[in-house]
Parts: sequence; C-alpha cells; structure tokens
Amino acid sequence: MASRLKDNMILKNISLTRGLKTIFSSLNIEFLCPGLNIIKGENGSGKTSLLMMISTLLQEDRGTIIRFGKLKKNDWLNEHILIKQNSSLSDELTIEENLKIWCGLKGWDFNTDKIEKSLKNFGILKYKNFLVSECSSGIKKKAELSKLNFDESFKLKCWLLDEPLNHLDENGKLFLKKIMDKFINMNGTILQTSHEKKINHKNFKIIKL
Amino acid sequence: MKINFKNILIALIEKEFKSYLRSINNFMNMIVFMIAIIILFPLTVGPSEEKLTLVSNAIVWIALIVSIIPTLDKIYISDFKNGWLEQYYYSPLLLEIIILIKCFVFWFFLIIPLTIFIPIFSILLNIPFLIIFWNIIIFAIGSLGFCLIGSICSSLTLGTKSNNLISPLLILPLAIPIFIFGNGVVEAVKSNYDPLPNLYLLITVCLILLIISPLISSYSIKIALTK
Repeated sequence: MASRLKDNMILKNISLTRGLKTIFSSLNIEFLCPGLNIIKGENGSGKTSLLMMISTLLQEDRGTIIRFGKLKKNDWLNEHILIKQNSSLSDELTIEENLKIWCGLKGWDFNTDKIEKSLKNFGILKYKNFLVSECSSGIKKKAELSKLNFDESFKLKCWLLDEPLNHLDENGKLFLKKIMDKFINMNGTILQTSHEKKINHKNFKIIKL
Repeated sequence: MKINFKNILIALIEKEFKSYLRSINNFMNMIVFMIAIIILFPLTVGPSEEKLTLVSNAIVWIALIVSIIPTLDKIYISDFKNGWLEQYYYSPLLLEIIILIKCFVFWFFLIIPLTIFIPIFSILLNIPFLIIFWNIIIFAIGSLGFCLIGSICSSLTLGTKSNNLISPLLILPLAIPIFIFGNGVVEAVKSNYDPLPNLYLLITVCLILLIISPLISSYSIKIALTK
C-alpha cells in the first residue's frame, strides 16, 4: 500500500489564476500512475497551465499537489521532463549542439553517439549539423522529442508532454508511441495534452478539463 | 539518478561561447559604435590640444560605457524567447549560480576583449601611459559590475514590450558608484595621490553586486517565466 501511495499523483482542490483570469477553481484529479493520462479540453481550457503547474513553473493559489509521495521540489525537477508545444531549442546552435547542451544542463552524460542514436531513431540524423533556425517545424519538433529517447529519460518518473503530436508525420507519431509505451512499461507516468480523437495506447485515462 | 555537475558547467559555458561566437555582429556593433564616438568627439571639441587633454579620459570612458549599455539588456532576452531560461530553471544547478556563470561568460567573451581597444584609443587621444594602465584595470573590474547591473535590469525587463527603452534608464543610476570610484582612481593618479582607496571601493561595489545581482535576477526570471 505504501509503495502505491508513493507512486500517486493527485491534485486536490486546486485553484489557479493567471492575471485576472481564473483558470481552475477546486480542481480534483487523480492521475493514472504508472500509465498514460490524456488531458483533453477546448482551447484556453488550461491544459498547458495544468502541465506548467505540475512542473512547478506556475504556482497554484490554493490546494495541494501530491507529486509521487510529496517529492521535494528539487528532486521533482530532476525526476520529470516538460516538453512544451513550442520548441525550446536555440536558433544559433545546431540540433546536435542543442541536445548535447541540454543533456549537459540536466547533469547527464553527453556524447555524440548517444545524440546520434536518438536522432537516427526519429529519422532526422541528416539534419544534426543544421542550425535550428534553418529547420522546419516538424524537424524542430522531432529534435525536441528526441530528448525523450535518451537512456536517462526512461529512468525518470514522469513525462509532461504538451501536444507532442503537433507537426509530426506518421513515422514520427509511430516512434513516439513506441517510446511512450516503453516508458510506461518501465513504470513511467505520462501526462499528455492532446486534441486527437483516436488513441492507440492500451492503458490510458482521459481527463477532461 | 547520478547528476554530473561538471557536465552542467561545461554545457553552460559551451552554449554561451557558441552563441556569442555566432552572433559576432553584436560585438562588432559595439566596436563600431565606440570608434564612432572616439572619432566624433575631437571633431566637435575642436583641434585645441589643451581642451582635448582635459576631456580625453572621459571620452574613452563614455565611448566604452555607451557602447556596452545596449548589449547589456540582451543577456537573457534570446534565452527567454527560445525557452532556454526554462531549461536553466529545470537544471539541478541553482538558477543563481547559472546566472553568475552567464554574467562571467558575457563579461569574459564580450567585454574583456574591448579592453584591447583602450590602449589604441588612448594613444590616439594622447593619454599618458600611466593613466592607460590604470584605465585598463578599472575598466576590467568596473565592467564586471556593469554586467551584474545589466543582469538585474535585463531580467527585470523580461517579458515587457519596451525593454530596450527601460533598461538604460535602470542601468545608468545603478552604475553611478562605478563611475565615481573609477574616475576617482584616475583623478588620484593624475594628482599624484594614492589611487588604492578608490580602487578598493570600486572592488567593494562589484563584490556587493556579485552577491545581490544573482539573487534579484533569479527572482525576476522566475516571475517572468510564470507569465
């Protein structure tokens, strides 16, 4: 029972305001852990804000968020990845450099083979030396999602993915599904916002905002 | 999971270095601006050598400061726009330390190379060698203070639309102590007094900024990220 509680992610009576807009009031959610949680809602319903709040970037006004048995903030920051809708890659650097430096910033080992392997799986190895400013949105998205394909990423507790399927082609979607399934099988929890109607995963929970 | 802090430092310095190297036009803008001021000033003051000797040191300082200020508010803006500031926030290293490293790298790669130009311009303006020597020392120390002030102002104006208008207004009043003590050193050397007391005060100002700047900057960056 204790271990089950430790793996829970629960939002209790959460209220959040941004500026003058109230985004949530008294929100209660229990996420499926481990498993895939698909957050659905209309535009502006607060899907991205929810992910940002869970990742501590936004501070809730009221309520409690239990992140895997009340993990400390610093431990939680090292135990999850947030992939936002817009790419967070530096335009002045190449795709390879971006990923290498990102791994370094996380305190992970970075070597060229590891980056190349991840890019190859997403089918964008030939773009590794392109500056990000020269790449299309699809390639940027794939480069961004390559961050999930490192060995260290699978050891994390949680992935927060904000509309990861945007700009992706069929091969990209298939490979993303493959790594998401692999992560869930390794006891990982995924919180994904999506507008897609068809869901190809077996074990998932839909959360409507 | 094992976190390698050495990797974080290497990655951070590598990113900053490559970014500055690829946006070399910022550095070139600073130099061109500086040369323009140095050339235009004597033309407006007139050919009198006496007048020029009186203001020559001030010209070099004004040229350096005015060319640096526009770049100071750009310390965080590109990282903010392309989402890297968020990545810094998620890094296991404290945001304050990351800011400190960013300021040092900015100072080392963008400002310190400018000191090479001090002797060249000083010779053109007929400034004595002893003053040139002291100018280089004061500028090397004082410019670190400028970078730290720039870090505060740049982070405070993140997310505002007219940040390039507000930043210089914020930077100049905070930079006054550096001007006063920096000029104090040169005046002391000119009048054959001991320049060290003013130099120590200048170092003190920089040390105080070294402590408060990362704290204020990280706080305002966190506010900007949540908007």
